[in-house]
Amino acid sequence: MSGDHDMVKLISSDGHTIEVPEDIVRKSQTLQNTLDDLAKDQLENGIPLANVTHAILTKVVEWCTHHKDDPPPPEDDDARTRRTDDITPWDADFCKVEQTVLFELILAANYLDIKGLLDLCCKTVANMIKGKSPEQIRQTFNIKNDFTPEEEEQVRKENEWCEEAGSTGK
Amino acid sequence: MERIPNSVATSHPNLSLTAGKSPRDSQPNVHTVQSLRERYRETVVMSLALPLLMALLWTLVMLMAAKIDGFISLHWALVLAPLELVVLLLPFARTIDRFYIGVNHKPRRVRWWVVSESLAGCLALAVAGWVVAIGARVEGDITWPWSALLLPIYLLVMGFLALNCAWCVDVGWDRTLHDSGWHRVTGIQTLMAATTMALALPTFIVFLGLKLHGTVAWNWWLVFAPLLIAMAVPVIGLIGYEIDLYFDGSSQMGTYFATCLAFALPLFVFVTLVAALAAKPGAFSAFVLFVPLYPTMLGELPDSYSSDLDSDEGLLVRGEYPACPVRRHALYLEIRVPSRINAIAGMLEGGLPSRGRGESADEFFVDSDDECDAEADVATGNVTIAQLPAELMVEIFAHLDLISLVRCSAVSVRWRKWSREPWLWQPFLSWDGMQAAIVAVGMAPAPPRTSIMAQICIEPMQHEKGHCYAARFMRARKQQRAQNRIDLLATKRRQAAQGFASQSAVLIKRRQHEEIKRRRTLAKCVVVGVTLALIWLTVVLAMGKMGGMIRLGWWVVLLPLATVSLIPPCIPPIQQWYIARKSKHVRMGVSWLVAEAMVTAVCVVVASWIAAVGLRADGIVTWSWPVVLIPLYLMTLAALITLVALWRGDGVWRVRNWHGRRDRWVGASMVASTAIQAVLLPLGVVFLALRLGEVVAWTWWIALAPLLGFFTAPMLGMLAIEAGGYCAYRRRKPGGFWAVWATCGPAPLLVFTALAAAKAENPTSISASVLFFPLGCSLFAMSAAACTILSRDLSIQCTVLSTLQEPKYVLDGSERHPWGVLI
Repeated sequence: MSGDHDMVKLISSDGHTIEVPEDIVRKSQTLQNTLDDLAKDQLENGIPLANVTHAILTKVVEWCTHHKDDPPPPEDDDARTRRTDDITPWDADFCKVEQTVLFELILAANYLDIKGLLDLCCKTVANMIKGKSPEQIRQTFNIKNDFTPEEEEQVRKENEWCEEAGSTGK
Repeated sequence: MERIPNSVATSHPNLSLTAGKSPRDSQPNVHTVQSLRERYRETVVMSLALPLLMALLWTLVMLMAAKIDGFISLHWALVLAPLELVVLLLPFARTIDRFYIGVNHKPRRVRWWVVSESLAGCLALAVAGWVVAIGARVEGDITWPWSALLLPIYLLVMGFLALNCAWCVDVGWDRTLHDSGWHRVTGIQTLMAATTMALALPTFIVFLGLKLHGTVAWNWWLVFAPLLIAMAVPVIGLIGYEIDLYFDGSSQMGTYFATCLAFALPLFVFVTLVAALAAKPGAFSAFVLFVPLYPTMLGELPDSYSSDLDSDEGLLVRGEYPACPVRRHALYLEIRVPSRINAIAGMLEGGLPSRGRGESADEFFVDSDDECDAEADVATGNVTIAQLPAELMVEIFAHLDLISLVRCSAVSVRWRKWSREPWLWQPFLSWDGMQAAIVAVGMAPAPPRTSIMAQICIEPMQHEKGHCYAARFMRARKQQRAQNRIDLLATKRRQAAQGFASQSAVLIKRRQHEEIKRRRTLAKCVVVGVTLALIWLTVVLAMGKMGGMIRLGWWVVLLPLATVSLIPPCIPPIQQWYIARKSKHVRMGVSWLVAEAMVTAVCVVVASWIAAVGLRADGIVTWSWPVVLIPLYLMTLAALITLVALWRGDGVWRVRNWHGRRDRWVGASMVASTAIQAVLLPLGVVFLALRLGEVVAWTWWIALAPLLGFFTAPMLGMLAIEAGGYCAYRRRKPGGFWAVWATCGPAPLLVFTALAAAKAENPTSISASVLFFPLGCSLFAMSAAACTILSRDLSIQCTVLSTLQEPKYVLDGSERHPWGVLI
């Protein structure tokens, strides 16, 4: 790699441009494909990212920079566990942001196809869901309860077994 | 009586909906954190108390057996000391528990609590004193009449009856009258149990008192008759239900059987044995008495706390103390198992293409195009969770545990739809669902252990390739999950292409597939049953022969074993025949026939060799022992070659541990222990032949030393793996794997070999029943495990099958049951 191509220009949706080292850009599968597909002179003007704002792009780059030496995530499905307690402290700090930012991060990670970041954000959201009752989940994420009373009753009946578990044995 | 609100809640769900919500919603976070903390503490206390309790119980059982057999001459009061300790420790454990929890979480009504604790303490003291008195009476130190001594038991039984039967009758009637389906059946069952216990227990106690006092001179069997009947009712009832369920094609198959295996059957066998020993003292060793209780007693220890500590949910059933593990399990079975299976079946059902509620079939599939509230408003930066597309929400759901997933399905209509993606539930169907089906079996509630047990017990009989159980298990799971996704994608594509018509074709195909799977399992049931029965027969015959109770020749005794070795070639034809009866899926090519012929040849050789050993032992043929053992050398050699080939083929360093990670430590430990075994096995066989042929005049201990080492090596290897796993991954369940593995496999064989050496040295030193005790334990554990696994498989397959066969999703959850018509 010559010095010219070490940096890649990324243009966020709100028009800001940031320069990012190429090895970090390659953490994103989408951008990696773009880099491989495009000729070098086409890259001179930067890659426009229509779905990512500047603030989010900065966060994404921050994450990729910190994780640039990580091994690529395993392809096989086997490694995919339901664990959500294996988040490193740095990652946990990274995810201590507002909900909106977190969801935007998820969207960005999905758009840019960065598996590690997507996993991390999904785990964080999953951790926010865990241990909460449906009503608490609704409060946390500001979701409207759009069940009809009959439907709600049916749902409650179906889920009775798991709510019962906490209070049996009295 | 506190159950009544519950029943009201069932019949008037709206009431409980509002009542259940209000306390939780007022202080959501504090409540959750506190209750989690409390649960954690309870679990920690339990994990300390349970091993102690189990150790005491084991000591008690062993001491009693040794005392009855006359090995030790301790005073009976001392023999019963562990029981006294247990009784005294129970209130103490409660106090510690309360105290420990109370440090941060003050219990309310402290005063009442102190009163109840001191009452419990006094009661415990009284009971302990009574146990001492019983010991003294047996020894003859005191000469009170037996009927007077048994007085506290009358009181206890009456109190128990008053409390328990009141509850049973209450709940039983409640369920029988108001509920449907499963609950109704359990209601009837509860009523039956209550009636039998109410009649039988007091009668038995009175009979016992009379007999011990010498008032009546009945046979001991007569005295035990009420208890035997009381114990037999649940066994018969449970098996009856199970058969009933089978013909009903119900999805809850296996659960009754699991209860039966865990409690009813061992208790029944135990009581029968006690009666037999009382009727004819010295008929068999007292150690044999406790064989039926052995798996339950063993399983209680590692599982009760490790699975709780390990599970996401913490303690599953709170407020239950180690005092009553049986009740804990019973509760668990009663409440969680059916509902869990129901729920998973319901989820699966809801997830399958034809659902009653949504008319269009593709409604449930995740389609990212129509689901979002609005396009994510990235420019303004106001993204809410409602704007995440479906595939990302499913990605999030994939990280949730079962309970959270279920709760998510109750959040909103859209979440409900998304959270029903079948592959999200698949892990629970094969993992927690399995646990649910078998959790009642005291010996193996934790899924990994049971599956590994299945690998050990069942798979070797299918002469499958592969040896690393954990790795194979993980691989199978992975394949299954991959297959599920492929299935799903294929289904989706086909639907898009061909519309509704293809759906039924897919359904039929899947149903056929599931049907074949079920038939395979049924065939497996037959084979495993026959095999285990034959092995049991051999052990019992050998015991009788050595004890001098039967006069059959050794070749007759070994005949069942020879038959067992003929079973492997029978399995594939039986399976193929049984499958072929309906679905025409038969694969019998030339290669299949060749393989079959080879297996048959090997098995015939093995069988005739076993018969030859029997003939030689009888002296009917007079070949020298080293010659008779020649096939054994060959078999050893073949085993070694296979082993080496498998190791090379599979790649030791690619061995995966139970987390599915590649693990060199596991590989190294396995290689080391296998290498030691590979050296010791041929050596052991040669030594045995030399000693039997009297070519050398060593003691039996030396002759059997290599074999002893052979059985020790894998145990050490597994221990190393356990230790390594613990250090490397902080595995929270140390010991479970090792316990099971060693229990079923090498440990009993090791003990058996050692006992055999001792007996060969000095034929009068131990009785035959003691000699076969370890084998009996191992066999019992294996039988229980096999039944559990098979019933679990059947249950899951029936669940899947029933969801495939009945496309209508019944909303109110009521199901028809033939027994329901009668009431």
